[in-house]
Amino acid sequence: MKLIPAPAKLALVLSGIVTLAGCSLGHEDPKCIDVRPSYPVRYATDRISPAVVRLDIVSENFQQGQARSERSIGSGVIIDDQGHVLTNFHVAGRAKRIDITLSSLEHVRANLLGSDHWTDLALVQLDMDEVHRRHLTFSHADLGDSSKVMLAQPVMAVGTPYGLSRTVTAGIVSNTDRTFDESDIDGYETGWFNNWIQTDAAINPGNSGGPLVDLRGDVVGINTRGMTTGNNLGFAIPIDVAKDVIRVLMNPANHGKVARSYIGVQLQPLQDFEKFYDIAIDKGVLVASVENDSPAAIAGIKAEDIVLAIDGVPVNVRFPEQLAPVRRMISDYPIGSDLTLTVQRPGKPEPMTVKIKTEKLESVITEEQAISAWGLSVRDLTRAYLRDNRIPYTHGVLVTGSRPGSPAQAAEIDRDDIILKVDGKPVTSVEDLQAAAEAWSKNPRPIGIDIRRGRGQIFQVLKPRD
Amino acid sequence: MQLKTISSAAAMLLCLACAASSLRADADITAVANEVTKSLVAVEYTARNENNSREESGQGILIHKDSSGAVILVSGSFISENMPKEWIKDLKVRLPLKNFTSVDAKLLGRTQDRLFAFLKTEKPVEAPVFNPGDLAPSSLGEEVFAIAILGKSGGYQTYTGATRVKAILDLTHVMVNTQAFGLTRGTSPVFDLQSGKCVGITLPALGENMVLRDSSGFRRIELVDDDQGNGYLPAEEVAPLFKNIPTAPFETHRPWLGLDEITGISEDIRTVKKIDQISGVMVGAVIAGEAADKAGLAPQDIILTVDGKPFSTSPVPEIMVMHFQRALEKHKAGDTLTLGILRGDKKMDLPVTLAAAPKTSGEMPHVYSAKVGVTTRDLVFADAYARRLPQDTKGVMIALVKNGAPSSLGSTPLKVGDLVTKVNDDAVDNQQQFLAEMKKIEDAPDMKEAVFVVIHPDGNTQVCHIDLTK
Repeated sequence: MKLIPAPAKLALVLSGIVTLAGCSLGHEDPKCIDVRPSYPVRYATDRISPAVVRLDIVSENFQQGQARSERSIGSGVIIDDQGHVLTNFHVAGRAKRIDITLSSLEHVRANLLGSDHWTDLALVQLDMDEVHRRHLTFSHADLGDSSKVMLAQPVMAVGTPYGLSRTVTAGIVSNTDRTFDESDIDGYETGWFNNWIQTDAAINPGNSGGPLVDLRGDVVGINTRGMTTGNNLGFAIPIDVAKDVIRVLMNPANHGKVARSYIGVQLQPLQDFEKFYDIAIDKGVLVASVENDSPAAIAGIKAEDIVLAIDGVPVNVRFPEQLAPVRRMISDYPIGSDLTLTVQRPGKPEPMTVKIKTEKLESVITEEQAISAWGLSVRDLTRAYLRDNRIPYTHGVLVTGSRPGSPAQAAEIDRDDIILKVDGKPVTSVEDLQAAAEAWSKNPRPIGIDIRRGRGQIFQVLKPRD
Repeated sequence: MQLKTISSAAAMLLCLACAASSLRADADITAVANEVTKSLVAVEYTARNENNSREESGQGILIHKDSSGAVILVSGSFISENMPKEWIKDLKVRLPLKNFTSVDAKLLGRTQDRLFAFLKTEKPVEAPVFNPGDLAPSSLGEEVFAIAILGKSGGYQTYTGATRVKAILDLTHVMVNTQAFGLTRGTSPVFDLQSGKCVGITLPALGENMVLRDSSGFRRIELVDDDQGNGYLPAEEVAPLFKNIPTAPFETHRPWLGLDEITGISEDIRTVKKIDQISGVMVGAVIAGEAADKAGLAPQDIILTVDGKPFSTSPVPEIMVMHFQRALEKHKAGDTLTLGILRGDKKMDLPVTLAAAPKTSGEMPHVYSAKVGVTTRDLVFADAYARRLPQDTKGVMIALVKNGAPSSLGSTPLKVGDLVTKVNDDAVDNQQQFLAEMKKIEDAPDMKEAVFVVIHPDGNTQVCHIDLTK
């Protein structure tokens, strides 16, 4: 155990930034950190605060077939001198308008560059023309290394809890590898590909998107979740996960989306099953379920198969905490990759190899849009939605709601219906439906709408309202 | 406690007396009540399984007796169709003339429409059979009264309620809608207040199940006030109950076309499709391999007639569906009907032979396996259909997981509604194979774990580890 003599400690403090930033033991040995009150916290605060922003968001929320504007507040952190701001998908991912308050208290507009609901991250950029025109200044944060975050390491959260801008809270890392079941943000899947840094630094609504920093002031996570029924149970997305997402979203060729590979298996930890399956405790992951018509199903993967390796790289999921990295390993392959899985099937003496061509990972839902003339809100249909609801493949547009008193409601078209045809013509996208509605608006008349409802296919008549 | 119960019963009687006071009674209610209650019985059973025990009570009418016992008519909902018979314990009938001492009884079967069930006592009883006499039709504004007996907490005493007929509804059945009887018991005979003639039988299912919802349980017929849930089935609906009374256990199944997502046709559809009659139903889904599929029905066919006649004159789409179902219910499995349909712009007749509705979960034997702590049954049609699995899906359904049993513990516990497809190394196609696996576990005291592969209700599979030492 290395102890730093008191005079040396004093020297470290006096030398300030250089000393702390250069402390070679800063991560490897927390005892390197100055233990006198306030200094490390103040140092980190001084470094991060100028880069933390408040986001005032206007987004669209669809209710009963019509869009309503909704205002919300979140946090973000500027990550470069180009004015890129990292925040959460659930803060800005569906924003129609973003106003940012810099640490200087100046307001500036920003634009959404891209988002990724799977990791709950979004990237926006300050309106740099406005920044230059108004001679606004800002700082940016340095991104740290979340792989080196240690249990009980002091950390701080900076953000806008309940609209209280520039709020700094401090605590420690309570867990470096917290895992949750997959969940969703208003239907958008999230939490498949990462674990979380848990902290007891107070995180409240409005902190979302703000940085979790170490005592160097480097960003180690993006504050994202909290357990509202508990006290000081907050969760941040590790910055290493965010770095990969940022890199993709900054590339204009990716159109603001992160493309991932999909094979269609649900994986299950092997803990408790090793003896039954007579398999070493540090090998393999159990296939719990295989989605219909998925690449894995087509390749012949079955529930109870144990995947030992992917393209020769061994995988090991004994505990739930190990699931996300394996899911990510698969999703990181370029779409259309040919994977070779080494699979142990129960009852078979030897492992076998299975070739799977990956597909693009799709969301179950897509952006909601209004068909105003008919009083409908709709989404494009995805194969993931059809698989999830075990509906045979079909083209069409998914209805999410209808406005009271609208032609659509009079025609009894409602949530979860799939519009297949309008006036006898197949509909394959929201764009098609929008075009049909616009044409109808110019010549309103009763028209037939073919709908898939539940397991059936029915016909309704849509006509102008008196 | 006892005093409190009696006083609340007395308050109820007073209230009923108030309700009746505005009506003029030519019939001697007291005399009718005294006579009728000799044939009214309290029916009770315990719904018991490895996790719960619940006492159920209701009322029945003694409608037949012979040297082997008495037949009791009860409402179908008194014993749910989905209740496994293994969970029905201590089914008994209490007779008024014997100071409500109990006689063991058994379930004989249900009417085809499932509105009523028949019980039979295990031995002969001393009580008169209820004679409805010449059942009289009901009319709007008619003053009627019903007779019932209170349950155990009310000391099995007689009570009555009088009211006036507000409406006669023509839905899945003809139902007479009244102001509140104040009766809480189903299966009560109803009499005309002037003539004293029997006009029908109350049914608890009338309110929630039969009036408010159509068969899909999805679209509602809104009632104008709460009292609309009150009512009784009139003479034309209940008369068949007193004919050909069953005396031995029997099975009935509803007639089954194998259609889903049926909707009534709106005025707009009639206009666009140039349909000149007022009612019809559109077929949404045709279940593969079932009667309608064999007959050639297709989605979006509009059924206009059954055996050449329109089946409804209602302009309300939801009621058209009820009337179509009612037209089918007048037939039995095996009957052949002709459905007049409109497909596109072509009319055609399609003969279709009705099948028997698939068995329900309650009809399947339920078996408890103690070492694992689960009750299972064979699959029924609805299991795979609800999960959108192929109908040839094999396995058994978990109907109960005993609290604290090995199956309920661990990180991958079994859950009610899981469909088991494999136990340890063996595929499980049916209950027999599952029970054979359970016997292997019972016979191997050293076995410390078992692995089940299940399909959850959401269609995803999971591998479940059961620690048998827990």
